[in-house]
Formats: sequence, C-alpha cells, structure tokens
Amino acid sequence: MRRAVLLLALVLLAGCSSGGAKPKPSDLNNQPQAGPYQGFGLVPPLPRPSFTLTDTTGKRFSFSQTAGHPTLLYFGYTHCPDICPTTMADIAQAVAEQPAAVRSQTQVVFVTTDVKRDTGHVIAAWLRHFDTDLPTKFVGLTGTQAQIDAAQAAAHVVLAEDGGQTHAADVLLYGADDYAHVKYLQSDNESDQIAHDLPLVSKEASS
Amino acid sequence: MNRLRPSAFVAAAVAVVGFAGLIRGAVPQAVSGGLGGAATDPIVVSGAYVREPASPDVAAAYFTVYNTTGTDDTLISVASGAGESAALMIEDASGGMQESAAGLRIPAHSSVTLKPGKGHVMIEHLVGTLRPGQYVNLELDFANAGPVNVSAPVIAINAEPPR
Repeated sequence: MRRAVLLLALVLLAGCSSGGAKPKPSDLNNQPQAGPYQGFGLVPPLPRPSFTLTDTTGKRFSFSQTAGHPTLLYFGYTHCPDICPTTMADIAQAVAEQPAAVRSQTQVVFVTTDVKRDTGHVIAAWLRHFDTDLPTKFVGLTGTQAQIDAAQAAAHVVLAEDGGQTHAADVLLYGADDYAHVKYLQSDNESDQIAHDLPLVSKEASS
Repeated sequence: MNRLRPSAFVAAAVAVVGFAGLIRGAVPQAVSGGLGGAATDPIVVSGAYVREPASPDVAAAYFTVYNTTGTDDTLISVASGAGESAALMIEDASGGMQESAAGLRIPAHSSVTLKPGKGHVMIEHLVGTLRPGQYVNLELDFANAGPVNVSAPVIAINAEPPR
C-alpha cells in the first residue's frame, strides 16, 4: 500500500518537474544544445586531432587513419568499474542501432589513461566484451605517459590524473568532415544521444 | 540503548517487527532484485544490478535506496560475496569518484540512486567470473536500520538496467 502511494508520489513529482514553471534539470538533458545534436554541441567545432600511439597488436596507429569516418574517441582505463565500461557499452549499443552503412564506417577509438596496467593484451581483451557483434572492431591504443598526455591535449580533453583513474568522461564524435561538432558525457541516455547524432555526422549527411 | 527506559521497550518491539519485515522481504527481493521489503521496512532497496564486467577483477553494483522512515539514515558500509573487497564510491565535488568516508546519507522519506557517474559499490578482486543471470549478494549496513541484504542480478554488458 505504502509502495503504491510512494510510486504515485513519484509519478506526481515527475509530472510537476516536466510541466511546472521551474523545471528541475534531470541529468544532462536540459543543458543547452547547439545545432541538431542531442549531445553537447561544440562551438566552435574541434578539428580531428593528430596523434600517434600503439595499437593492441603493438603497431603504430595514427589517429589520422580514421579521417573521413565518423569516429568516437574516448579516454579511460580498463580497471574501471563504473563510467568506462558503461560508456563503452553505450557506444557499442549506439553503433549497433545504426543502419548498416553508418555502422560499418563508424570508428571507435579507446585510449588508455592507465599506461602501467593497460597493456595491448589487457585492452584487447576488454574491448572484445563490447564490439563482438559489430562489423568494425574498436581500436585500443596505449603509449608512453607523455604520448597519452599529448593525445589528450590534442583532443582538448582534461589530462587524466591518479595513474589515469581520474580522467575526462567526454566522448568526442568526429564527423566525416573531420570536425567534432558534438561530445557526450555519461548519462542515463548517452547511448540514445549518440545513436541519434551518428547519422548526422556520417558521410551521407555531410556530402 | 544501553539503559532501558520505557520507550526502549517500544523501540525494541518496533525493531522486532522491522526485522521480521526484512526477513519476509528478503525472499522476493532475492528472486527479482526489485522492490523487496514489506511496508514496515525502514529501508527498501530496489533496481539493484551489476553490469557484467569487462575487466576480469572489478565490477560495480548499482541500486536505489528508499528511506521509508521519518528519520535520516546513513549507509555506512558495504560488503559483497562476489569479491575480496567492496567499497562505497560516491561522486565528489570535482566530479571524480571517491570512497565515501562519511557514508551516504539517505534523507527521511526520500531515496538516493547510485548510478553510473554518481555512485556505486565497487567490488574488487572478484572471486569468479560474473555472468548475466547470476546474482551478487550485497550487505548494506545502515546507521539506524542496520544490515540490509540485497541480491543484485548480473545484467548483460549491453543490457538496459532494470527500472
């Protein structure tokens, strides 16, 4: 009985917050938007950065290899219980929902902020949890601390601290035009936001 | 409750009723991970889940805590059978995640939700692989309500959290 009352109260409260004169911001959804995007619009847009790191097979990987493709870039670490795996799952879900043309051209690049623990093997094993059903496998990158710092600086994200455990939660989405017009932060509907915006920055949209 | 005053008998009676409620509530809760307690429970935990971890040795548990009483309560410690250590991690003022030293306050007649980016129970040194369909046992210890047992289902890595 009390449960029913509690639920009713929650429903009423929810009704108030969306229809009231002074809406209460829920998560990130009421933040200002720029343009057609559901994520955080970037004005001015950020150019696709140039940096070279090492992929999970030990080969050099230049981020410019992703040029011309919609690309999601995220910095994090694998020994992360909370935001990092949730964010990667959100990204994977958003890519999986795309039409085949967008899905296959979308690149996802994960750069570790924990260079001590995240070897190529550790990153590869972690990423396979997310991209197994996707046509284009996620790219995992590591490097020296100086290289990782330089990559974060090039991407205009706040440099990670505490051995990489305190890091920017931003997911940057670069378009086929090689600019990031939008970025994302962890929220209940991050996946829906990315899924909405991906077609807008794909080749079909910008040509 | 070191000295027995007349009111202590009332409190003790309430406590007995409360514990009985917890035991009753533990049965459906263990099955569904959803709203568990009877109406008399001071603390009700719902929507508990653990996302299947991508890392071999660390996982996070999330849930909503309802304080049904008229007195603020505090989640002071957590324990889990799924790993060697468990810690309550709460978003700090700068947006980072810190182990909560003072515990998590649950205001009277209110709820607090631990969700990605806001807070979680970090379970480290997992004793085995966690797979969807399994359950993770949590013991949440509250300053007033005492220990509350929660059985959190492991959801697939790309699954929507239970509501």
